[in-house]
Amino acid sequence: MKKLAIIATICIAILAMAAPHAAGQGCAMCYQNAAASGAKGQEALRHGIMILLIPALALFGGIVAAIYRRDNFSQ
Amino acid sequence: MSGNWMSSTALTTESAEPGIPQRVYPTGMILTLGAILMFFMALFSAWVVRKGLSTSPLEAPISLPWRLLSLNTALLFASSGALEASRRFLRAGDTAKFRIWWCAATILGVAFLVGQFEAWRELEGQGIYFASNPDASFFFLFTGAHALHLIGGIAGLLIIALKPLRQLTRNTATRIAAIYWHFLTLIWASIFLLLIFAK
Amino acid sequence: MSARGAARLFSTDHKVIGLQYLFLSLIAVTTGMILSLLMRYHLAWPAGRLPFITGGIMTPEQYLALVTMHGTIMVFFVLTTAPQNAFGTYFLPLQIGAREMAFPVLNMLGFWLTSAAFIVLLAAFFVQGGAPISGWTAYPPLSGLGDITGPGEGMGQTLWIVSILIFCVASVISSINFIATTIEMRASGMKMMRMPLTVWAWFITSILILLSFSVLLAAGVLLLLDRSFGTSFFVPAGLVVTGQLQSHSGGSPLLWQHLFWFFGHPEVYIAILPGMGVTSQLLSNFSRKPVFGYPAMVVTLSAIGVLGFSVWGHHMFVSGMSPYSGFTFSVLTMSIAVPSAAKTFNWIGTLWGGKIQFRTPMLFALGFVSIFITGGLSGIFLAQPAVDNMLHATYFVVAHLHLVMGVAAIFGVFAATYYWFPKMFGRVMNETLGKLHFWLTFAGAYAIFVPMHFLGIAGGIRRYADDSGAAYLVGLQPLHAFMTVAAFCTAAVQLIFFWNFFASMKSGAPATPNPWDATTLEWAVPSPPPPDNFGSTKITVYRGPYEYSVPGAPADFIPQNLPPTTTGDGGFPA
Repeated sequence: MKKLAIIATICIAILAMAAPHAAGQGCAMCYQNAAASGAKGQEALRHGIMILLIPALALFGGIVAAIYRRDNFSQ
Repeated sequence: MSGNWMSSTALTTESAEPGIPQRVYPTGMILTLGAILMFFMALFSAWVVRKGLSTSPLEAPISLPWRLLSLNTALLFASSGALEASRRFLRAGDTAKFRIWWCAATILGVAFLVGQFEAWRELEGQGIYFASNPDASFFFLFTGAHALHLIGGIAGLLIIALKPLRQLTRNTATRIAAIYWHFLTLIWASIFLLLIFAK
Repeated sequence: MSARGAARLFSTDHKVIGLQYLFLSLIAVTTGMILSLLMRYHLAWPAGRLPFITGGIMTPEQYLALVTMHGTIMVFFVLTTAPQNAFGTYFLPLQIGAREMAFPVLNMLGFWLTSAAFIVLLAAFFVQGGAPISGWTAYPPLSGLGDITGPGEGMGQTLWIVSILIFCVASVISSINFIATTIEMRASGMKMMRMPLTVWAWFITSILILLSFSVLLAAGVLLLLDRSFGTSFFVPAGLVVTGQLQSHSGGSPLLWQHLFWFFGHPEVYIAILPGMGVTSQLLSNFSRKPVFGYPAMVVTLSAIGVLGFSVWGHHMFVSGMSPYSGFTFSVLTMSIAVPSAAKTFNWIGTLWGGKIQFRTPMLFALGFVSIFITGGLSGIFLAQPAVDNMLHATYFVVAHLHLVMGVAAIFGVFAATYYWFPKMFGRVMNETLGKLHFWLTFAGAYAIFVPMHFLGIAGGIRRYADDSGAAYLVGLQPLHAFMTVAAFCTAAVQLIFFWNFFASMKSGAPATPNPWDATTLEWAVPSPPPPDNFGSTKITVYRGPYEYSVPGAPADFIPQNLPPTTTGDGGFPA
């Protein structure tokens, strides 16, 4: 239990310390531009995001699944 | 030390790599389709986002040559069907029928392209060009991008018909050509549906 | 050129192609570095004269052209090319026990397309108007209207776009090769959870490349159409440029950002993931300990990949009037910190209790961890929208991105170079020069970029050629001078590396096949490897990639392909 507490503390400390480029270079600008584009614009952006994100994530998952399935093959 | 690092060469004219299994080609083709899918999704996303963000006054919707586009759609589906029939004959060992149906698929593909050119000509006849208005731009963009990929597909079909590929067996070559072709048919179907629902 | 020469130049051997990529990236990094030194010179001494500029003093537009080309060259031709294409092309097949990649001809094509893209990009310097000034992000309408918006925006910008389009095609081709090879061409026994973390990193990075560069390709095509065919994908109506009303209508500059950053976010992870893989490999090798939490390392690599896409969505995703949307946005943006922190924790866990060997590759791997943490810390600040409002477009961002991408990622490249040099060239690099190179570069990098954070907080704006006119920044001009001197010194230090690299290639001490007593498959073959990698031996893998200091084993490492009967480890199932 004590070991777990130590590990958890170190994890949280590092979590608080070590994070990379979580923000893109245009972070605030994108967000504010998007916020300023009106209801129709925001909805369009949301849909536009989904159109790119869903196939991308599906393909990502598919490729990882493919290597999982190919496991244990022998030449 | 087995020699200078520059001495590792493999001549490009060498015969098929012995260690490369046939299964890499369908995998490679599917991955290629993943990339192409993302490309078309980017165009789709661009269309949706631009429409929502545009502050221009209502753009005049363009009237599309629906009859021609529907005919083209039928031609492309027919070519996919022909391609599948051809592969079935190849699997059954009937080389002659395989060739006939493979040619039919190619010709139907070319017919589709001719139909697409006609559709563009019809629009241009109405004074609607690529840059006329954003809706027109996207129409030409979607159909143009699809047509370009299809031209590549037709080139592939011709190459397979005319000249055996060194590294690929005929089964593999026809399989990956079919995967590519059917994918493009699906892409066209999606574009067609998009055009219908966008009206 | 003789037939043999042509065969070598257009070789389809992945090892040759890997080296070709490495040399291309060395040329690119030298070019990019020179450009940055010109920028730093001007920032420190805005009135300073340069011999090759008409009028002597750099104009703001010329400065922006340097900014654009430096960024483009470094991001694309160094950070996407060296960690992934140079070392991945060379070592992926070796590490998975394959004779070749899945598509050798496409491999060769990918390299030559990348080289063509580089030449096209450099050509922008030499056309009328010069190089583009819209930054590596090429935002329209600045980039979308042709030379009416500024010098370099004519032919220069067109060449830039064409170069990037060629690069996109080359990258996608190479990613298809990597993924297909990793899935289909592993040796017997090389299960996915026995792959070295370098292979996992190259694999995940390839997926990111496959998915994101396709979208950049689409965006670039649309931009080209706007410029050359009068379309209005990105250009809105009513724009007046230099007194002339533009005829475009219906486009949106925000659309470009939407498309570009779908690529742009994964791109920074593409730049860093291979370095993380190399770091895991090296920390394990030189601590004589297995990687702490190998499964977690695989999961975190994948998580960073997935979240890299999702984070993009959150930057643009505005949920409307909900007061919680900002909170959700912020939390989800920071979620990518979780796997990165887990990796850092596991690296420390790998080192803990190990018999650490402070060889040059290890120093650079440790340096990677150090700088990744430092650079990452500043990322946390930028992830808060309120703080980012203040720090956006300041030197704080520049400092952050250079620490993670310009230093950490490059340290990953250095680490990989020193580590794999014996294998690639059959010779050993000079250890003393290596250590000197490390310590001076480590100190120099911090000297350049730590002060830059303060400049940013004080309000120093990025992309401005000359801060000296702003009253509130005049007092900080000495900081610019300090950073410039540090930059010049650090750049000079790289000469040590270049000397070491090329001299050792020619006359370094001969290397044994496995100078680092490493476990992965590339060390089981001669240095350099023969054309077909493993000769007539059929490679079988019996265990995981980091079996170091296994209790009861005869040596403190067990190569992956050593049959279990000779090692007494019963063929560990991991």
